[in-house]
Amino acid sequence: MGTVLRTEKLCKSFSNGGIQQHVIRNLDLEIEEGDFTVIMGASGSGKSTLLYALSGMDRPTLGKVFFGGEEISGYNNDKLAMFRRSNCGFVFQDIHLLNYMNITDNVLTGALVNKKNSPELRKKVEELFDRVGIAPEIRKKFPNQLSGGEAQRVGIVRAVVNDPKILFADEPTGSLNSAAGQDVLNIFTELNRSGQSVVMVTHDLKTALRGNRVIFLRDGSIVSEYRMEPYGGQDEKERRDGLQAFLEEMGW
Amino acid sequence: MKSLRLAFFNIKKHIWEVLVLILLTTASVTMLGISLTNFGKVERIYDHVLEGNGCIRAVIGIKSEGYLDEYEEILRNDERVERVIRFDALHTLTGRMTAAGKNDIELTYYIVDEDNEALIENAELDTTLSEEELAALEHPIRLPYFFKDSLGFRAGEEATLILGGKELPVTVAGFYDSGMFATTYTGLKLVVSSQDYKVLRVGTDEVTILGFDEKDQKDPKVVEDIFSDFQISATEVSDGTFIRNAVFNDYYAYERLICSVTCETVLTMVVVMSVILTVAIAFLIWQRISSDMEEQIRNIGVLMALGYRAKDISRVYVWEYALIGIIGGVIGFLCTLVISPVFFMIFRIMSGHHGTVPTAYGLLFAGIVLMMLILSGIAWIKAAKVRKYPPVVALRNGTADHLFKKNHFSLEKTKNSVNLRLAMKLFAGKVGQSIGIFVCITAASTALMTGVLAKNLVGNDLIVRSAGMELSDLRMELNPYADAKEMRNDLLKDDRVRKVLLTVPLLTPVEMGEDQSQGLAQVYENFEDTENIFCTKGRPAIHDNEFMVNNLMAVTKGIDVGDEVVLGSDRYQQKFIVTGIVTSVTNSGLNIYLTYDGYHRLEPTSSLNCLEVYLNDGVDSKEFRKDMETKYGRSLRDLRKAVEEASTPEEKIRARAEEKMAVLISEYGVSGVDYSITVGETVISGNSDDYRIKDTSSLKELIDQQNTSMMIAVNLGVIMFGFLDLVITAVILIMVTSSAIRKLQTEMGVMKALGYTSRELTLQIGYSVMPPVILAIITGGFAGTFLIKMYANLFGNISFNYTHLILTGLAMMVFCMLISLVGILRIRKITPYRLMAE
Repeated sequence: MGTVLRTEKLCKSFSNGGIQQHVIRNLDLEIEEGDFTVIMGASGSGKSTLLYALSGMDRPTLGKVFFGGEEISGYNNDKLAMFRRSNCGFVFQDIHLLNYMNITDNVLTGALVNKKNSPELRKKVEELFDRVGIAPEIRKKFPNQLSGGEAQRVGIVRAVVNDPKILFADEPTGSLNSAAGQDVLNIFTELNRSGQSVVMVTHDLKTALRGNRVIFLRDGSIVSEYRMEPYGGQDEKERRDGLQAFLEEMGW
Repeated sequence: MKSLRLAFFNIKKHIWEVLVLILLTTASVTMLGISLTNFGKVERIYDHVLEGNGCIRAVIGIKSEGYLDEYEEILRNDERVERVIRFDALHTLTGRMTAAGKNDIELTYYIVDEDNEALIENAELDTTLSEEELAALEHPIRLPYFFKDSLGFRAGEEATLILGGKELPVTVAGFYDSGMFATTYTGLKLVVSSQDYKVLRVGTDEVTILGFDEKDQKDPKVVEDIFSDFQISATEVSDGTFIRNAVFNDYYAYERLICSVTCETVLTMVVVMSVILTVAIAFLIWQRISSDMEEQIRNIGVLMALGYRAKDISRVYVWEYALIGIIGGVIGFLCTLVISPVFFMIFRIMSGHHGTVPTAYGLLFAGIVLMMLILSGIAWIKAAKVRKYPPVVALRNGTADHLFKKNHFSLEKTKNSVNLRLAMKLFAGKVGQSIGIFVCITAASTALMTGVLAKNLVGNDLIVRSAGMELSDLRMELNPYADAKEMRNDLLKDDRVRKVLLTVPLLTPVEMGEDQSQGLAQVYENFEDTENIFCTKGRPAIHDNEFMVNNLMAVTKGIDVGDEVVLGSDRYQQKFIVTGIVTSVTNSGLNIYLTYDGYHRLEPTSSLNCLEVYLNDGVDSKEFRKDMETKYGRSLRDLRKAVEEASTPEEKIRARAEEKMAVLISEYGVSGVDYSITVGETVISGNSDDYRIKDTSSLKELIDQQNTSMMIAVNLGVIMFGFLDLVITAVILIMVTSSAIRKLQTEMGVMKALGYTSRELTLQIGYSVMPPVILAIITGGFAGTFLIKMYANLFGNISFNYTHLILTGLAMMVFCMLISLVGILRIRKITPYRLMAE
């Protein structure tokens, strides 16, 4: 397994009313292929900012981001868009399905930006829907007609339809109830088991347990990281205790 | 007051959009104000001039050679007639005025002397010359204001009046506001001294004009009835010759119409523009409130949850747009005060009349109030929709709205471009917005296309093609003795000449039908040789019992191809068969087309003594005309000059002989002169070969100059329409697209996250507004064509050049696309970063 994503002295600052706010500070990080990396930290620690900088959604203020050995931090907006369409999938906390089209078209919007329409593509979409448990009768519905859990599962299908090298998720269960959240996390786990690299931001312990690597941020810097066996690979209690201990140590 | 404060807050929040709306409202109110304050003013000025000058209102013109004293008696005995005057005038259809630094002014002129002018009207002379300077002028000429305002003549300026080859040097004594013959359409009245009148009279058609006022000036039919009864009586006393010598003119009604028609055409266009602008403003307000409500939906929900009623919230919008209406109305009112007098000044120049009449500002106030009511009304209707959002729906971001939608343009059926498909999805989701864009741009493009076609209609090419007359480069009317065929052969030897056709003089009368209504003969040996007489139905006349009729006459007289019609002269009446209908916009629809053999049946002694000369490409027609006049048409001026400048006895004798010869030819119709005078051993001889041309003219130039003011009005209108259209279209599209981006910010962020580039998203939004735009432009093209065709059909089957229309449509589409893209530029600033969970 090689390094799929790497940062060098990554910095991200925002200017708010003339005041510079340094959200990410000289951050060095490597994301391994096939890993399920979880980014944790207190509110305002820079978790989401880091995720968006890693995924090419935003450019760093200073430092570099390398994807598969190629520096993407110098790309212009259009090149970054091309990079995202080929390499990244995104799952958002607020799901952000497009309300003016049905859910099949929502998924195809993600797919057709990268591929031509074909029976194979449509078959693949159907298979993904089957895989995440979206029944055929709701595939023609509009996003506002779905429950939160259903919508997020559609969001995941949209994110993975292009076979991204990395799947980024920003608090994917944040707006879901517990049961729906677990369903969604099961999908992430399943995807990771099939070799999908995942980088997820969360502040929830149960969610973080799905990963095999937890990075803890404070004031824009990595304070420490915790590695564990992949989810389901060892005694769950032991995993939870180990992670909990790590987080408590971090002052979480 | 809370609503008012919130309205002010909203205005401050959307200051740029508010400023645009105020600007458009100001423009709309100003246009409305200009129209309301100027409509009917030019007509009132004319009434004022007529009254001030004591000018008569209707005229009957009779060729002096056919005038009988009994005619005046008939008119005096009519109880419906109040005042009768009789005066003489020289009439030339295509006279010329030339002056240094100015183009030749070839127009229809009536020339009167000072005594006759005193009978017609007493207009004040507007001059910068002193009494002494005026008295010292050898050849003074008084000109209507048209010469000063439109052609830039000045008092004291030297000019030359050219009538039928005679050149009279004149000095402009000054200008006057003429109540009669003041426009290029009616002919312009020039006032010269009695002595000059006598000189010009030689060889020029003189008309005796009976002028009168009707007693009942309120009934527009009275004058028509007087004319009709007069014609019956005059025909009786003249044994039928009256009809071929007379022209009736309800001058007051005609001049009033002519002097105001171009101004009111412009004002109508301005009103139409104001209406289009108002429609656009209404749409923008509609769009703006809709967009604002979508943006503010959660705030609306919170306010309603706090106990605000729907009407409290909608009142905020009503106040906001009422304030915009008030501000725009007041600024528009002030702009009207400044701009309206400028328009009035232009209209005075276009009408050929000076003078002032009071402005009706009451109407202007009414217009402003109307505008404010429209804006507030639109805001009230749209804002009332806030009732559709009870708190629970509003706080769910109007979720109810999104249920049960149809999934238009399914991506599963995408064939090529997903961007185009996504654009169509956006388009289908905004039916209301698309209808609004369609309505506004249809109105704007209809106006623009109508303008483009109107320009095409009055443009030279179309007038020329629809004239129904030969518009050769030079038309030469020959003196009676001249051999036209021989001269044609001479001309054909000239390398510059392409073709020469023989015809009869302009305004050659022919009677038609049982009512002996007057027609004007267009006679040619073979219509296959003509270049500008086209049959829209049937075929050209070939045989001596065939003729063609113009479309207007065919419609009004109910004549069709194959009908048998009696044509007549004052001597013969013959039956002819109609073989074709000809499109003709000239001679008020009186043209009748006969072969020479056919005409010969009516006028057996006639000959074709006019030449239509067609020049090769690149030949200077003015230069050619000058050459012809020098070669074949020596003028009395030349002769008088020769007499004055002759120094030796031999030169003096020759000059006198030439002068006598010219007078014999011109005034007495002598067909040819040879002279030989022996003085001692010297023989002085000469002949009339140099005096073959009676008159030269160029109908093409006459039509050009007559249409000048209409062309100016139409061009001005097209420019104004074009500019306004661009502004309206740009504002609508920029506001629609920027509002779309504002509303779709999150969606665009998601699309960017999915890997769509700014360029792709720009195209998607751009394409999404294009269907209604394209449809609107096409509809505008058809609507404009329909409107103009409806008007043009009055003249006949006129074929248009649609290239300009298509090019304008394409240019407008490109413009719309570019403007949409400009409005979407800010999409580049949208970053998927904003999708980050808070």
